[in-house]
Amino acid sequence: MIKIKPVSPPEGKRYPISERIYLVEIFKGMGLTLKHLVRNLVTYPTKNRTVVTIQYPDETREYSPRFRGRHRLKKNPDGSLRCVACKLCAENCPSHCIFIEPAAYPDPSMGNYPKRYEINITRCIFCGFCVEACPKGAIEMTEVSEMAGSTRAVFDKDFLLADGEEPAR
Amino acid sequence: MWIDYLVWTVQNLLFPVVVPVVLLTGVILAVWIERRGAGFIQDRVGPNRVTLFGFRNAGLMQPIADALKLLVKEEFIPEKADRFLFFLAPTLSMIPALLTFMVIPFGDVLVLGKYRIPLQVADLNVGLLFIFAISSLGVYGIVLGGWSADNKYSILGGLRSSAQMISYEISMGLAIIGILIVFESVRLNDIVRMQGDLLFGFLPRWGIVVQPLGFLLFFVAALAETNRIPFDLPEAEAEIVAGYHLEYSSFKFSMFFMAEYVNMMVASGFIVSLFLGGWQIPWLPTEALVAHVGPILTAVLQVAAFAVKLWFIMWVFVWVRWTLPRFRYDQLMGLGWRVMLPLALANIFVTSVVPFVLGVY
Ligand code: SF4
Ligand code: SF4
Repeated sequence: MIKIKPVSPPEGKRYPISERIYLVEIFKGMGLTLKHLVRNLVTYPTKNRTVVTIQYPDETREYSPRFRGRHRLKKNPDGSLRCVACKLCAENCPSHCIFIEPAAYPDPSMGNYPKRYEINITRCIFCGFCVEACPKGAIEMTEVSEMAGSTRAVFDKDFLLADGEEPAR
Repeated sequence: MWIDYLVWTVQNLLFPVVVPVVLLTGVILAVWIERRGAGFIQDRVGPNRVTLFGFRNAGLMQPIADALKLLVKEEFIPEKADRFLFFLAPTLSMIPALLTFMVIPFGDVLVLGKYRIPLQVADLNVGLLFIFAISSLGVYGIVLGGWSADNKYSILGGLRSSAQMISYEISMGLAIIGILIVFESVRLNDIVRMQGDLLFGFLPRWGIVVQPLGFLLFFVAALAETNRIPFDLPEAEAEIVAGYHLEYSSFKFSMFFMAEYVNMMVASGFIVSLFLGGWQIPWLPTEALVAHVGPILTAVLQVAAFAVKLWFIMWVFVWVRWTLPRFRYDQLMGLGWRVMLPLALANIFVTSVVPFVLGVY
C-alpha cells in the first residue's frame, strides 16, 4: 500500500526536526530504492518477475482479440474471393487509402471481383471502418502490429490474401 | 642489473600507463552499474541487448557501443564558438580527473627482497594537497566549455558549476582537516596504513569510525564536486537542457562524459583512502598477510579490497542518484554555506578538543 503524506505541515506548525534535517528521510528513501532493487534482482531470474519491462522482440504484449492490426482479405470455402468490389470500404475509409479496380467474372452470375485491391498502409489510421462497412465480411483486421519496413508499403491483393505472409515476388 | 631496470620500468612507466587505462576501462563498468542499477531501481530492466560474439553479457558492452556511436557521430561546433577554448575544455576536464588518481594508493608498499614498490603511481608526501590542487582544476573544463560554446544555457551551467565548486570545495577541505588532525599526515599511504590500527582492540580505526561527521560532510561535498544528482545543477536537463556540454557532440561529448565517471572514481578512491581504510583488509594488517601468504598475494588481496570498496562507493553514488531529486539552486547554496560549513567547523573544533578532554595527548 502506498501511504500518502501531506506535503505541507499542519497550519502554523513546522515539520518535526527529524524531517527538517532531511537525513533520516534520505535514508528512508534510499531504503525504499534498495528494496525495489533487491526485489527486482532476486525475482529477475525466476518466473514471476517484478520488473514491468516487456522485452519486446523476445516477449510481446498480449493483445485483445478486438485489436485492430494489419488487414487481411478473406476467402470463401471454395477458395474464391469474398470481396465483390462494391467499394463500400474505400468509400468509408476516412483516409482514402483503399484503391479498388473492379472487374467482372466471365460468368455473369458470379458478379464482380476486385482486379486490384490495394491498401496504402502508410496512410491507414487503423480505424476499422472498412471492416464495418463491408457487406460481405470480406475484410478483417488481424492482431499483427509489426508492419515496419524500409519502403513505403502498399499492401496489394496477394499480400492481403496471404494473411500477411509475404508472397515470394 | 636488469632487475633494477625492470622495477624502475614497472614503477615509472607501467603504472602511469596502466592506471589511466584501468580507470578509463572502469568507465564501462561504471556506466553499466549506473544504467542497470537505475533500471532495477525503477522496476525496469535497463540496457541488456548489446551482444559480443553472440553473447548478451547482461548489457556490459552497451557503453562500448555507445562510445563507438559517439565516435562516428557528426561533430558540431557552433558558429560563434571560441574554437580554441571549445576544443580545450573537454581535455581540461579529463586530464585533472586522470591526474588526481595518481596519488591514491591501491595497495601497501610491495617489498620484494631489497626492492620497495609503492602500489601507487606517485607516492607524494603532499598527496592530499595534490588531490585538492588538481581536482579544483577540473572546474575550468566545465566553465570554459560552458563559456566558449556561445549558448545561454551552457554559460548558465558553467556559472552554476563554478559557484557550486567553490562553495563545496570549502566544506570538503574543512571536512578533511579532522582526518588530518587524527592521522597527522598528508601522505595518503600513511593515512591508509594508520587506518589498519585497531580501536579498543576490535574496531578498525577507519576514518569513518573516528570521523563520522567528517565522512558525511565529505561524501556530500564529493557528490557536489562530481556534479552528481542531487547536485547536478550544472547539467540540470530539466532547467538548462544539458548545461555546460549542451553544444558538445561526438568525441568531445564523450570526453566530458568519461571525465564525469573518472571523477566519480577518483572521488570514490579518495573517500575509500581517507575514510574506509583504503587497501586495508579489516583485522589483517600487511605484516600478518605477508607472513602468511607472501608479498605478491598480499598485494593482490589489498588491490582487490581497494577495488571492492571503491566500487561500493561508486554504487552508493548511483544509488543516491536514483533516489534523490535535484536541489533548487538557492537550496544548494544554503546547504553549502549555512549547513555544511558550520558543521565542518564544528567538526574541526570537536576533533581538536576531544583528545584533550579525554587526555589522549
Ligand atoms: S482501417 Fe480505416 S483507414 Fe485503414 S483502410 Fe480501413 S477504413 Fe481506411
Ligand atoms: S472488401 Fe467488402 S466493402 Fe470492400 S469492396 Fe470488397 S466487398 Fe466491398
